[in-house]
Amino acid sequence: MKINSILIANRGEIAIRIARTAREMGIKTYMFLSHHEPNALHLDFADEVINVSDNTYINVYTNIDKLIETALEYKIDAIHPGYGFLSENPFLPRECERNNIVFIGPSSKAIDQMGNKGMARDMALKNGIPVLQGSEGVITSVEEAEETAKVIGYPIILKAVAGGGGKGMRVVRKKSELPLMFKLATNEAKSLFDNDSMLIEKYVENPRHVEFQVLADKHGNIVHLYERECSIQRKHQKLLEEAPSAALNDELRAKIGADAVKICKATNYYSAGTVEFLLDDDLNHYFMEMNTRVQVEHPITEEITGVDIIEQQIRVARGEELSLKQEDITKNGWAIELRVNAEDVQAGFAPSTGLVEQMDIPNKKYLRCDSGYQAGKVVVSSFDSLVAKLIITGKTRGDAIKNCRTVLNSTTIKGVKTTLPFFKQVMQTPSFVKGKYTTSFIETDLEQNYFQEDNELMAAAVLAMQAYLTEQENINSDDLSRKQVSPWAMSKKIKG
Amino acid sequence: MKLLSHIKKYTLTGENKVNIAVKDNEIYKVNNRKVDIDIEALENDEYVVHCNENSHVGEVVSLKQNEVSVMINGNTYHFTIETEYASKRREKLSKNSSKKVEKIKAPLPGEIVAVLMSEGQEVHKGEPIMILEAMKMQNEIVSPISGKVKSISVKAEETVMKDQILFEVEPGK
Repeated sequence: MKINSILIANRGEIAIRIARTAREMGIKTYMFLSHHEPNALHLDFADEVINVSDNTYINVYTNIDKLIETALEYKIDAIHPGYGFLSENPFLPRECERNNIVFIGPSSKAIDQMGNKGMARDMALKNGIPVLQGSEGVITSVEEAEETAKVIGYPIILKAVAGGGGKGMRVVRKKSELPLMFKLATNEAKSLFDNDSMLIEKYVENPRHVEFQVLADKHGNIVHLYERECSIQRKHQKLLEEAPSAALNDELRAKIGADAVKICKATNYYSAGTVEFLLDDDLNHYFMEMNTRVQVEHPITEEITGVDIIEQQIRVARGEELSLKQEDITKNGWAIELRVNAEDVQAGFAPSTGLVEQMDIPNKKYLRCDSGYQAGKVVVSSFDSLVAKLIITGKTRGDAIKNCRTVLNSTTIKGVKTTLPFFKQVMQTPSFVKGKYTTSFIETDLEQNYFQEDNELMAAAVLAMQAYLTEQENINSDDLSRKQVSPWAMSKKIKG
Repeated sequence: MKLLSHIKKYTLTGENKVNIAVKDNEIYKVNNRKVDIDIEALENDEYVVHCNENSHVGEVVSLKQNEVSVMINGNTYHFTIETEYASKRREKLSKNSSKKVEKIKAPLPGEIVAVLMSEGQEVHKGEPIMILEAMKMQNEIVSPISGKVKSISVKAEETVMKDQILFEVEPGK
């Protein structure tokens, strides 16, 4: 199968990321100009821009018909879905196949199988991969839930069968909490997914989240590219990832990696994918789920292995055999990804939208910045809040952390609030620096969510007070023609 | 000719309270301690605030009457500036009228994906009332107090604007 052109059915940094590799491979790229972001940065990186901004009633990135129609109309060979949107929708590869378009990703069947929590779990069980103890079949009443919970033992977690991304889930720590939590979880699942069936699983307190990057071709060759540690999350959304994980030794790494490869083999998986595991206190690993797409955090794996994951996806989609053998894949150094999101950390990570007034990212040989924004671009509320991924490397974990601090101290973003103050705080939190942290890091290890200098509040108050005094002075002197005089000028004036 | 120094005391109320005394229009004491202050302007609307031995780089984000927001290190600080007496008086008044109905507004524009409670239902502080989806994140909108849901003004699948009132909770007795 030849791929001479790709329709990138995505936006922002990942659209730019895909275009970069496509260009290196001599492939022509197409992207959409949508009414949400007429001025988007990613448009500068496409060979051809397809303007769909008249079409204000659809979101082009989630509209299968529109994608297929566009690919046919412009005679584009392949579609790359990126992450999010339609990347894990089995109907897109199916429609691609029907219309002789190459889908850069796994088969429709693999997405379907691994996307259903119950089916993926069964598949793992059947292949001798450890999973957490859980209910057999779905649970529809609180009585059934009580029975099951008794067998498994508290704490348990209720999970909506149809759910995902942390929705429709509730942790129950003791029997008396179950009726209320069951009601809340089923209510939420009913209104979100129109399906209130539940699964019950043993809940691991303070686990670590470790995932393995896999690559597989259509000829049965499968390799893994080591792991990523993604335990720093809030609301089940990752904020910082690192590769490799400080929790694994080589023996454990090989063992879990083999399980990741095994589940891919069992489902005849091809393309890039990620197998997620939980690690408990005693470093037992349990299969959680598989993501059948390129992940946001794929760059840290690229940095330590030197493999271009997007290139591999394209080669596999072309039908090529993997040229990588497991024994050839080595990891070098350490990589950390900081997700700079447009979020107000001081307000509990609430999204912050608006114009990016200033965006200064330093130039360092150990820093790779994947971003869909620059000064003058607008963060809109229609899409996710990711502004930039700062991918920072070092020879050792300690080096990488030191480099993170340097980068954070010389990065400035203005106009929207970002997660930068959060990362500054993380970089000086002992449990993170020692590499001993779990998914409850934000709740338990951080004194506060953002970094503050000593006496910062006092300085803020002083600056506010001076601004106010200056304004008062202006009003009193009837000199309203001048716009806000600088507090500095004013204080100098007063001091004489 | 100036015979007496004129000292004025202000209270800045934000997440934390800061008391500042101003002598002859110059900041003189912060939280009852004498401070040495110098504010230096940079070219890009930023200021270096030298406060005793510390220096911080910050900027004034907005100034509307007595409401001032400043930013330092990517953190925002919002203050309401009042004289010490006005601040104390307001506090006293609000203490006496604590039994007021809480109106909960949408923190950002988005879509209500689910309403989990109905009018008249008893709620505990922190219990989710509805789920608002914005920027691909689902945010639980929780009750800030324990009491009874007085009214719900939105339905599932409804799009809401920022600051639109979502529901009201009446404090329990």
